[in-house]
Amino acid sequence: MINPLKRYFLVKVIVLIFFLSCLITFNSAQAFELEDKVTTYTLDNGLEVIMVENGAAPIVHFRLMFDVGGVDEPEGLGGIAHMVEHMAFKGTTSLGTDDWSKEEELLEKLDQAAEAYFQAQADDLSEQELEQLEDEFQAAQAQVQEVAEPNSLMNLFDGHGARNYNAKTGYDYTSYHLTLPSNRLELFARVKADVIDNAVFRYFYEEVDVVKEERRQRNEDEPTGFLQEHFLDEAFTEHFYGRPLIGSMEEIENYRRQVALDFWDAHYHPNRAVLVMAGDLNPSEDIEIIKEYFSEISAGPVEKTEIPEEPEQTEERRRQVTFDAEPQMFIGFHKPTYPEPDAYVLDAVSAVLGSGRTSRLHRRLITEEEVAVSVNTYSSIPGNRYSNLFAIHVVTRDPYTPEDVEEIIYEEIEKLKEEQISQWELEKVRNQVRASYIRNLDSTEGLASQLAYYQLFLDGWENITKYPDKIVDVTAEELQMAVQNYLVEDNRTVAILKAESGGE
Amino acid sequence: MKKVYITCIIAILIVTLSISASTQTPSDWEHPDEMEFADLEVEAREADKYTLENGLTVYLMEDSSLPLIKGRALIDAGGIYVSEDKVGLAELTARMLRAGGTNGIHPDKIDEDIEYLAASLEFNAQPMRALASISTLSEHKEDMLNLFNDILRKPDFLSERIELEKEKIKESIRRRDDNPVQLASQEFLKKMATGHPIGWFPTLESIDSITRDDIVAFHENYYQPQNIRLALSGNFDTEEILDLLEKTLGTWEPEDVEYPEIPDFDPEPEPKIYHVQQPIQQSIIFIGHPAITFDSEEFAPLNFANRVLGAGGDNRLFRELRSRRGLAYAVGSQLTQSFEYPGFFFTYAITGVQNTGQAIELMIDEIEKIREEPITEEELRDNREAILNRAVYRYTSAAEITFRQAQVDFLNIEPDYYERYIEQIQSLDEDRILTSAKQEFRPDDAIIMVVGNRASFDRDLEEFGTVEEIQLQF
Repeated sequence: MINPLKRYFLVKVIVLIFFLSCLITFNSAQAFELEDKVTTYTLDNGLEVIMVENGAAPIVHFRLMFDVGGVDEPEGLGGIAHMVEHMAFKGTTSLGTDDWSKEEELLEKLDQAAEAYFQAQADDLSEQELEQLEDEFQAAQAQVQEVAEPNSLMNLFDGHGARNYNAKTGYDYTSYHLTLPSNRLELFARVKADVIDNAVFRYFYEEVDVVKEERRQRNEDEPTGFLQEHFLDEAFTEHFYGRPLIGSMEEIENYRRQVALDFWDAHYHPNRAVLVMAGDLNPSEDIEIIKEYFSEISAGPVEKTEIPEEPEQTEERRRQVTFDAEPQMFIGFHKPTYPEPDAYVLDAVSAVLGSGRTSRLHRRLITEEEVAVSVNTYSSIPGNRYSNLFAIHVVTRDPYTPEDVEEIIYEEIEKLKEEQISQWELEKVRNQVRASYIRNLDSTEGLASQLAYYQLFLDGWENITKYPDKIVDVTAEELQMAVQNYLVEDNRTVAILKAESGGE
Repeated sequence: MKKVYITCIIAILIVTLSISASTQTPSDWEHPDEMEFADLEVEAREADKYTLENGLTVYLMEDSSLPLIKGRALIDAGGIYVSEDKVGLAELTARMLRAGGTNGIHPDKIDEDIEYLAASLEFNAQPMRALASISTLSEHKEDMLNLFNDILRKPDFLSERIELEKEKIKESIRRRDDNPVQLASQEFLKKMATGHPIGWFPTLESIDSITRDDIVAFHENYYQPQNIRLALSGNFDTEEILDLLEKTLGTWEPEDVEYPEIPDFDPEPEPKIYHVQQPIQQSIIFIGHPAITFDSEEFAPLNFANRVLGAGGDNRLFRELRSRRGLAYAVGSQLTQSFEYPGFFFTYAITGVQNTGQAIELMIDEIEKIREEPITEEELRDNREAILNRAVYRYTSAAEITFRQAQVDFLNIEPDYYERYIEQIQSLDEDRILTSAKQEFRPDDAIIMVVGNRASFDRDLEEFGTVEEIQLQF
């Protein structure tokens, strides 16, 4: 019996080899569709608005992204972008307070009480004096709590049917998002514009404690988060991609309300943001509502933090950390970012090595040698604005050690250097990038996030539509050369996590 | 003198700066509470439902916006039917369908075919069901449906791949305790559903004891067409896809399924405090007990109370423990939806180890409060609005609509359950919610699970009741 899949496979290969141009035409057709649905505007203050019409349901997804993230933090203020992201949920001068003028006074008193207490800690004052100042600090916090609510925005949006009201801070950017019933567009505009212009950082020191718990949960008690922090720190000696995105515990403890506000005031301007709206929209009417509120915000000067360049790596770096857990490992290689052609080639390398069960590392490590339970490759972490890392993450299988697995990974990398990949593998990658482009269009939130990112950092949202072709154009030779150039020992960082008692 | 003078100027400058930076909401902007919004039409959409002759039910909805097809199949082949010494059999069977070869085709070849088409096909199992998920470009629908049909009906269950899959599961068991949140939630569930398959988790021994014959027998018995509900949506023509389904899954001859006796669920497990010693900086705390089933008359009021307590917008646990006290990043409560067996009610918090006792006390206080005092007028209004305004999300995508309908039938829920739920929500008042909370939230009957470093706790756990230490296998 002939299996239909088998028959199909043969036909498919022939079709692909001879009619590669069809693929490209097909992509262009898709691109046209997206362009058809998109309307863009730029407000006088520089805010860019991208609307994607998709009327499947009476809802609108909003995503407001700023080109400010972890890399833009000055030395010593690691994690402050994440901190102010939290604070942007705390309300405004008109939302969340019983009496703003009174609260403003109380906040000023709070700042003074906080400063006195922290200064006393630094000055090593007597326990009694410290206790007194701590009491005063807490009393000042309690006074603010009496006139202001911490979660009024959350309550407001929740009541209006918001879904996924949240935010994300990356190394490159900060984005705020939520989905609302489409008749609540004005509510979004009224509240979010207010937040950008008139955010009040109330419940600040309470939130510092929350962020400390977040850090413990994600980066200290969780083995992968713990290892990743060490991996980035080892891989980047100078560039800020090497710092923990959430900040160190010491940095978090030293946050001050006014310093956080200054960071907010200095960076989060409309001219550094893009607002993507996707869903049941009427662009020509909806933009008027957006303008009515967002135009009230003034553009601000673009202050760029000086980010040191990462010097070229000249020899392998290794770090081993101890953690009460089963072993795992990160391997990273420095590489350029978009729009450098090699960045696209390395996306294809990542797919060949680590995407799916038929990828080389999955097959070799998990199915054939049975030395690992999972392997993932990432072609650009932790961000895309600057040169970044190609990374491999492996979870080993008992009794094999990361070192055992490491050797096999290098063998697979060597194979890619020595021999060009097959036409079949290349076609597989091309098919996958084409399909994942289409799937991405199917995910409102994923698409909104990518549109915003491309608009801010990759020279315009339209470039999304060109991405599949960039991968389709990668040749076996280019792929081989990229592996030869970048996935080499001197350019490598290895971070391994093991239990203290391990290694028996 | 000069120094003082400069300090003064700087002080003035700072004050001026901070005044100029401090803007306010424009006075002509309406407060959101005053804003009015146009009515919204939510168009109810329904999938087409067909039952093939062999009992396999399909839910279809065309959506030509993209050249994609997505499908999910619910199969009555969950872990609930597995005995305690073979826990993991349902999950292993589901995984092996995909990973064990089919109809003489080697699993590596199947992987290659699927990935070359840039499609995906995955199986997994939970206690109450097995689930298959398909995603493909619509141009490959025939190939993928043929493959799905072969995999479901003619799996090869290659022995070497069974061993490989067993070793992968065993590695995940060895690693289970590495993630403290996962560790805590599993130990908590074990105690809440003691003696029942819902509370059983695979062990190295149970996985080792599973043979190929077990897998073959499990598959033969439970994977029957009448046990399957398949939701398909995307870029297809309904007639055409029905025709395809008839020719593939439609030719499957059904056989009767034999169901084992399932141990009774104990709705009142012994209230106790359990502690798992871990050298970590935070404590993971769960407090809860079995509650009610989804079809109970109490579900709507209790779910409302739970929303106010720890699941809604500005819920009490979030506000008190997180926002006002900074004790936790993750804190809240849940009332799980369950059908044949009671769901669970629980509160949770992940807090610094030095705040463990304080957090437990506050969590219990909040449960007590919501069963002793009526919720406020604002809480009633805001949460009711929140629930009613979420009606727009019922029809967001063809995939969601088809899958929900499949689920409703799979679980034997009344088709108008949602409308009735909304009616109930509209008629709820503070008293009705209070009555329900008082009756169904029972902190005195709660099981408390704490994973953390006991030596650093702020308070002795014994203050809250009898403590039993759990010893871990690894």
